[in-house]
Amino acid sequence: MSQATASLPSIGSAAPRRLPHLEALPLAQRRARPKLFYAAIAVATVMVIVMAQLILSIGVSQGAYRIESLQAQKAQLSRSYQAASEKVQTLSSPQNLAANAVALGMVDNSTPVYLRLSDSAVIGSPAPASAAAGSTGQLVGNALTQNLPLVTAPKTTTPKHSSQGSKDAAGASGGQGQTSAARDGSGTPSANQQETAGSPVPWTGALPAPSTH
Amino acid sequence: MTTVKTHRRRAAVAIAAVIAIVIVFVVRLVDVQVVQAEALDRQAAERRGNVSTIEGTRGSILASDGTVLARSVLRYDFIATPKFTTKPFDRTVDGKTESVTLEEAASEIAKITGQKPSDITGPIQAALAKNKNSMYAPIVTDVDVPTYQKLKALQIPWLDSTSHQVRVYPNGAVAGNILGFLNGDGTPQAGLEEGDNACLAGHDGEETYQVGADGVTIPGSTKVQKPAKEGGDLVTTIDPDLQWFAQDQLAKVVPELGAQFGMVSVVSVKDAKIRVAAQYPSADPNDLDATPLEYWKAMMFQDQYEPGSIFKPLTAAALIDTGKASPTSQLVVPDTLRPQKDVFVSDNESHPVQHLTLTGVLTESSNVGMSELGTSMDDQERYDFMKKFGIGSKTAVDFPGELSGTFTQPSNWDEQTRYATTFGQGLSITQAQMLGAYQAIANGGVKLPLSIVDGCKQPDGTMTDVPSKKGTRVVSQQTSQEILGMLENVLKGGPISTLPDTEIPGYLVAAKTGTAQEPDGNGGYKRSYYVSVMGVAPVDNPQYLVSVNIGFPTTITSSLAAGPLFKTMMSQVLKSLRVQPSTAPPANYPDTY
Repeated sequence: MSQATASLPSIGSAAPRRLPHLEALPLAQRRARPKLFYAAIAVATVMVIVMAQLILSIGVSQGAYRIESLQAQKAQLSRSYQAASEKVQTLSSPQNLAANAVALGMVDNSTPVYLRLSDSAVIGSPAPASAAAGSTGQLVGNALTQNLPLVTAPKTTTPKHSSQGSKDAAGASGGQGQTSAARDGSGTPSANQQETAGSPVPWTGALPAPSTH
Repeated sequence: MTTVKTHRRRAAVAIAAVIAIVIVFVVRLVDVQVVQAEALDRQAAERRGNVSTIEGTRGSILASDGTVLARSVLRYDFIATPKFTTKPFDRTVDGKTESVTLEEAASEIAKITGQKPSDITGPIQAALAKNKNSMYAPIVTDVDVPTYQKLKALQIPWLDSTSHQVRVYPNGAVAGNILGFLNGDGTPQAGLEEGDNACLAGHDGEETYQVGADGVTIPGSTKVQKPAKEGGDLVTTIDPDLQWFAQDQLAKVVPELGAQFGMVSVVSVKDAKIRVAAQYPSADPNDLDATPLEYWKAMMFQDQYEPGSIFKPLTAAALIDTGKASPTSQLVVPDTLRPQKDVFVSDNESHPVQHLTLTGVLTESSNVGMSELGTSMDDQERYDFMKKFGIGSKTAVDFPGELSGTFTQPSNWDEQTRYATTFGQGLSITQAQMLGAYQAIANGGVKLPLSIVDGCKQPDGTMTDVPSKKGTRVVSQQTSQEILGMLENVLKGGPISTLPDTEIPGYLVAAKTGTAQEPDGNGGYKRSYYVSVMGVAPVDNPQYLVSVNIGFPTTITSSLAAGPLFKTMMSQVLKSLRVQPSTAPPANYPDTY
């Protein structure tokens, strides 16, 4: 209360200064009127942001489906890789290779002979390898390969080719088709193995030879 | 003036309060977003989403050339949801939609897996009988990828699959006994699988993710909480082709000889790496039940036997190294020796009194000659030499379940044992110890730690756990040379030389035969013998050590039984590992005087 009364005299003295304050009001009124242009910009900006947000989230979720499908594809490919590498590793086991080599008529010579280049000396006495001395290649067990057919085996499963083979053989006895008969005679499996699904891929083309200098 | 002051004070208080509140919020924000972020994130993810395990794959076991000897692969199980099998489902193939009943689906599955259709419908109906809303009936287990793909192609909506790791051994029984095996839970039980599990084992990780209503993972929601750690690949020193060759030969020779078992080992002399550890019968870890339980172990490390005459070169090395004898030391050798009461030593065959050199004692494998000389040395000194050769202690391989043999202190020897230990009876060793001792003799007298593992290849390619190759000298270089020179005579003039073609043309081969008697468990010795041949080639630059052991052959009972296989094996090793023929002349020590 004492403060209010104390300030009373000052009202009178301040009255002339109050006029300019009142003058400013129309100005404020003018500023309060918004321009359509700015409103449009604001609204448009908001719209753009909303649209961008929408497009972005559609893109992201689209990406999620793509990631999902790519991951499924990756899983499938790694499964296929596993199956293929497993098969290669099993087929390339020494028992399986040796058994197939023996089935193809290959014989291991356990008495190697060396030629010494410095004095042309032959070390050891050369002797032909015999099939009887070699192994059958099937003595060391492997549960994974025991049911795999040997390269020469599947004649019975390919009736079409086996009949062709016998025709060739018959032809050979008649003096025709010498080359194919020679192949059959040497125990080479000719094309038999191509026919069985799940059996090893046969070799085609020239045999690899070391390059010597 | 007072008004302004009051206003200022009010403002200051308000600002201070606001700042204080802001500081509290900021602290809390940092605490939640930074300090506790990980734990909270994880808690949230676990509460809202799904947790799945990322499997850490167990590493492979590789041969020295990279051939895979053991690996983990995925196998698949199929589980039916019985609740949904009661109604037929629609399937669209090539634009045609057909309705498939449970019975039809079951016969399709059975055709692929080789089961009977009742094996499929049985568990489903049993589950339905118990609970008509049953969600779980396992119907197919342990199928490989091709079968998995065929089953998936059936598009059966009530059929779900899970995968698990199984261990396969692509080379079967090749080195099977060394590799060991896992039990059904994947816990290693024996061999390298057990001994080097720390290298091989993978550690599972964990991730969390959220799934939308359509089953698709919500983008950005997958969080790896703990990454999986893949197991390392264990690189062994085994040569898979030679290992197969040795096992194949054993499988042929052992039954021919009417023997119980056989062993072939190859060690490279310069680095003491075991290249072949073959045995017969051998176990195929893919199918252990095909082999009797007693042959699941690795005999090289887990079988001990009295070595017999192949032990004599070690006694001879001790004698030469201490200057007590030389290759040409002269001895008068009767066929039996009765130096004192309770001691009786006899040679394998009766013979008239011979005048043999130390070389001749080894060539003829005379027990009498060896015990005459061997006992001239101080017992403790001889014992110390044998210990330095590694007799009576486990090898550096430290194979799981490895035995250490029995070789007691001289103070525990009775008089007969004192004589018998000079020619390898009255003590027992593992084949690995014997290989270690011969490696020392062949390697210029320096014994290197025997190894079967080259190291652990981590997923990032670095090799860890590489075994030490620090050698210790056992005997002098000259002793080593003299022993090998003396042993050249065994294939040329010893009992084994009565076989045709025991020599390997072009190579100087030092070898020693053994025809050991084994305890029968009742204080005596068995009637049949444990025969062996151990040898090193080429003598002028020792590269490989080959040993052949045949357990209790019946058709030929002497060391002749192991001779042909030794020659075959040594020839194969020299041939396939491309060892150059000898260039130095033979030592030609005289056997007699």
